[in-house]
Amino acid sequence: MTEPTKEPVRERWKFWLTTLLVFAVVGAAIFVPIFGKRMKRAARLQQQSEEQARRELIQPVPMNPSDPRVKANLFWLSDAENSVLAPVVVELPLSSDPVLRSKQVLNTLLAGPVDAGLRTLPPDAVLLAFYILPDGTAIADFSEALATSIPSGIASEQLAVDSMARTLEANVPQVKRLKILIHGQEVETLAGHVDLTGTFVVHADAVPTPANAASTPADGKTGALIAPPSPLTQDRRTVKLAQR
Amino acid sequence: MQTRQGNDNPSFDDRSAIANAQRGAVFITLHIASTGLPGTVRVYVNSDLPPITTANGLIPWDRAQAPFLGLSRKFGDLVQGMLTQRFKGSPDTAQTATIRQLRTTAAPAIAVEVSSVVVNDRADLDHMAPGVADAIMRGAVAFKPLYVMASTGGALP
Repeated sequence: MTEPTKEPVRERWKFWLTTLLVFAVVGAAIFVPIFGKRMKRAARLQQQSEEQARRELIQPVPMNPSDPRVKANLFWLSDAENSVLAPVVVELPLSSDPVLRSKQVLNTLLAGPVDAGLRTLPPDAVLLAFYILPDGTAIADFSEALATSIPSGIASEQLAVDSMARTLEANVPQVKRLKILIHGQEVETLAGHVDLTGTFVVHADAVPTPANAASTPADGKTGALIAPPSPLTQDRRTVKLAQR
Repeated sequence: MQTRQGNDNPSFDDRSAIANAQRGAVFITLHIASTGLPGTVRVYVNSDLPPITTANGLIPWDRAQAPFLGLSRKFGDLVQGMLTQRFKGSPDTAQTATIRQLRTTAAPAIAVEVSSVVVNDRADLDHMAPGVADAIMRGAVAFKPLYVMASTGGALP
């Protein structure tokens, strides 16, 4: 007598369970990718804030709020895949002193754009020192991370150098050439490809020094190597204008 | 002739020494980038170098590429053109970069960089290899008459 009443109950349970399962599967199909994206974004934001915190501990950007705020042009990637630099206007309180000003723009360049995929320099690289010689040659000394953490390849290494040269060109007219050191030493390449033994053109109208007379590149591009290997002498180091 | 089998030694100068000992050679250095649009290939030639002004006619080792830059650009553009036909999205002409290996090479010299290692499947890169090799070969064949003409003239562009 009880069998006929139990069967419809079981059928009803089956129906509701199946419906629930269908909803669960559809819901998972919709929300799992969204949840995954949010998790990735949260992880990236956390990573960026950790990088920022480390940078603030290691190398405080010497910004003086009383300096006039100017629109600085910083060169990062315009597109993560096309390997083209584009200026991004950032309003910064920049010093009128060329050495301080250079440090400020390079540190901002190192800090990277809002979209971390468009950065040109590794997040853990640090500008250790910066000088400008009387002939307009700037010496930028970076931590080893600049060489070890940069994505390997000709394109990425050249973009790193070009982003520094073009950022200095746009914001510090006193800098004519750029020499890059790694941890105080001259190195042969940045990460196996781009030549760091010479100096890079910052301003195309740079007055050639005796060591590289008539060496301004014909195409006038910034970032081109203009000087043959010329190790810094002790004498040259003593004429630096300022040190941080 | 291959100047090395792996990603280590010989040094840049040792590799240039091997290349510079050849007559009528071209130098091609192959790379795979960590960045860039996957499935594309870029050709680089060395950026401008200070001209050689020595009176003795010898080419300084650290600027050995200087007299060959014109030929390198022609060679690079030809190879890039062949690569672009096969790998859409690649640039139309060779780019310039300050590449250490090219600076001390006394021959028409180019660097070829494939983008990129950031692919889901390694096979995607492997599939590019025959096309890259074929395009370089075609570029070298197209360049050969230009190289001979420049050399027989007694002066390099």
